[in-house]
Amino acid sequence: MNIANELANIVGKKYVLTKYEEIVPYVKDASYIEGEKPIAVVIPGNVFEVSKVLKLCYENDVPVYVRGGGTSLTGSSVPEGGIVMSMLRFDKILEVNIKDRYVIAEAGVRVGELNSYLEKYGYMYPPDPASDIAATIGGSINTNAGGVRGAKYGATKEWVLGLEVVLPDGTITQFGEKTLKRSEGYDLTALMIGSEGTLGVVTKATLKIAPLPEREAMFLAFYDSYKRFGDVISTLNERGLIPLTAEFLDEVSMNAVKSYGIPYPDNAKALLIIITSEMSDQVLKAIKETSPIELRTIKDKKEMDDTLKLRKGLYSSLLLERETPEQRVIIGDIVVPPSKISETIEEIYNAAKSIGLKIAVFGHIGDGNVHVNIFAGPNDFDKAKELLLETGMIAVKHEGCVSAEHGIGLEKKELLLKEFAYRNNQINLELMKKIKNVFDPKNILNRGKLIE
Amino acid sequence: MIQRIYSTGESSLNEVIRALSSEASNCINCGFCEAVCPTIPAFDYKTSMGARGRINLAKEFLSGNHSLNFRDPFESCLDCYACFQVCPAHVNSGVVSELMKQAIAEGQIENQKHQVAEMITKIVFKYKDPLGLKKELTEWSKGLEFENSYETILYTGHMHQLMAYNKKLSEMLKSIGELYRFLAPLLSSLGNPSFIFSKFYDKKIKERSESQLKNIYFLLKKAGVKFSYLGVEEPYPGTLMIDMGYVNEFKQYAQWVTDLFHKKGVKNIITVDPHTYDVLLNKYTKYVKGFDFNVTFYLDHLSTLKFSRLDKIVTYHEPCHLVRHTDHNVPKGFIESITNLILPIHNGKNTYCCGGPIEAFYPKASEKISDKRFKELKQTKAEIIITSCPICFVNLYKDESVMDISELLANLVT
Repeated sequence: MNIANELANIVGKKYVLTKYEEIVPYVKDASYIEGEKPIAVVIPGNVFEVSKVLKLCYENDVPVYVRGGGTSLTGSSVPEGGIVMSMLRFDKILEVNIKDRYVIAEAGVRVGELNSYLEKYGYMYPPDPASDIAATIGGSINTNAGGVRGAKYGATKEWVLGLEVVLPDGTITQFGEKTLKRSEGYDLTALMIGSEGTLGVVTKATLKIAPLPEREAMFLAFYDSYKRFGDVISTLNERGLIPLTAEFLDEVSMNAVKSYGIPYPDNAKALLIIITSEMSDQVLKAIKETSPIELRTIKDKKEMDDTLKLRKGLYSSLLLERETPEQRVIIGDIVVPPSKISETIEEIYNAAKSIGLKIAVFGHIGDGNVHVNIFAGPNDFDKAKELLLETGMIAVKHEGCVSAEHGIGLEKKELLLKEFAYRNNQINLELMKKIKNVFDPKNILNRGKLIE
Repeated sequence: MIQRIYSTGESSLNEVIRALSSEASNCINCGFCEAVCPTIPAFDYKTSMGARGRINLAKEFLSGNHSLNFRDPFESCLDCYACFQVCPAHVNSGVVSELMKQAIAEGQIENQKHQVAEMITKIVFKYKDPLGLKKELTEWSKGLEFENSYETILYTGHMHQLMAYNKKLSEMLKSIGELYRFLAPLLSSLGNPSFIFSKFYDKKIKERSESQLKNIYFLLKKAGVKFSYLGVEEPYPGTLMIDMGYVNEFKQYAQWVTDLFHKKGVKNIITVDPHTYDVLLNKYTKYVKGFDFNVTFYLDHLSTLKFSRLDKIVTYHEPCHLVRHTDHNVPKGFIESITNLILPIHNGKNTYCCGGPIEAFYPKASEKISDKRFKELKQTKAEIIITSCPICFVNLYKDESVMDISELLANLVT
């Protein structure tokens, strides 16, 4: 059987790619991991075509790697042979319902595009990964993406109401509904979130939306050590103050964004950016109690926007700090309870120093999410992997997790096992494998990822 | 791998490889460019026909793999630079395409030259115009008076005038399919192909384009600008040559144009379309010796004019070559001050290409892109859609609500 011909019978010849030059771009994603060339790339245009493609692959034991925006940072979307199913033709926003607070979008809609669309209604879909310009709804659901709004709004799992899913054997089903709550046994919708394309193919999502918040104030607090700034979120939590955004940058990160023209004290080691929508006076008071060496308040909306650009452009600025183009900035992603953030960062610095790699640390301090950015040249990859492992275990020791919002993919499979082992939770892996087997007994979806 | 190519290539190839390597190797494969690249949906959602895919393919070329089909992925690039606006690593996939087109045009990638591109380059060299037309291109200026001195010239760059012919040519290419491979070399070998091309033009577009040039003339006069026009001696700037990667030919040709300007005593050049403005500002200054003219866009000269207000909702399609290639925002300022302007969802630096640059070679994809942009412009509910580029105008001219900014200003000037 010629799989490409069979696929062409389903979706049409022009939507099946087999030439080398056509499939090259599908071998990599945004991670440093390169996959193996697929036999073909198929670009279905509707749920029935997805169903037929999966049925064909299921019956013939052909692995299927589903791809959205190809923005995974853990190698989650790279193929290892098989076929790639690109979801980019699923690019329509189907319904906005303000009365019932939901939007229905196809899986290939870019997260940023959805938010631009919702803006005219005064609404937003809160998960806003840094890659929102390219990340798709389907991909972000499959990695349980977060973002800078996570402090107040949480990650993707809080915002998915229902999903249209095609199971590996081609069965089309729907999990969840348009309702804001449900109590109906096992939450199959939730099971799909963060499943990294291993259980089914999301073709359409019903997403909860929220009114765009009014920003009241932005605070920039500078600290001369990593020890104090970590206390801010704990203090705010103790007083019931939840900011819209709470981000932090370390010294290397601050240096990288110097071009944005925000001066900082010479002895500053960390910058905290907090945006509030209410009770700003109390937030200000709480920040002051943590003894920043300098504290600035911004109330002008444009100035807030300009300052936020600094955070949005941070990764870009770090890339300019590379010593050679071959050097990569590998983005680590861990999470700890916010009260543990200072000691976690301290230990990460020590680990980087002993391994001998330059790092820049920033993250979403509001939910304890730390991104350790490792500068790694072509000869440093082994050391970088060692540091990623160590960083993950530092998080675990501090009651955290090895992945906050980037998923497991290929990069963190070993780390996930170590986390389970550390907590003596090996049974979790067995449960996950059993779940996988129920959905996908022939293991055709995203073979080799997550738990294998 | 790069070293290997360095040691075997010609000097110009070395230049291409070095530039390509420095641009492409900074790419981190994040995919941001892919999300904004208009050619992906236009080419059936194939990512090899988009910004990130092009960089992946350029890397294949750099690694020594010269046998792939590079022509379609790179010649389909709109050169709109949407990719560059969003790249966190400051990589310009548009520049990668330009360099790959250069490698194709220079024959470094075998058998991938485009016959029509070859034909146009040959004709430009011979007749100082892509279609060998001379008389036809000056018809707009019949009866108009110009200064005797060429110190300041209105330089049309032939862009407005060529639109009517270009439209017919692309229709012809669409209908003959692969036959162009045989016809193009034949046409370029003719003594003077103008007798063929001069017969094929879109009458309505011709009238409209000529009227736009007259509006520009009228507005400049009204603003008190003293200028001349080279008429049949006006050379084409060579834009298509550089767009298609014929850099060496362009350098030679552009030097000839520059020398001609000098010979005529030109000091100031007033351009009337974004592509000519861009090519003079960014390419002539880069590739040509002695290009020391003061280059402006005609709207820069109209600040003293008074306009009556149009109480209508209008939207403005910002041309890529103005807002992204040259950072020129004067047209928006005019429109904003005299109408009720509502911008489309993609605006400013994030504007969306009209599809025009690939209309001749990839008409179907070009149409998909222009349809998408037209829909966005219509979604603003504006009664009038304004452009400030003849290519954008022709591609978006899908109903009578579309007009050039020169038409709006000529109607409202007091």
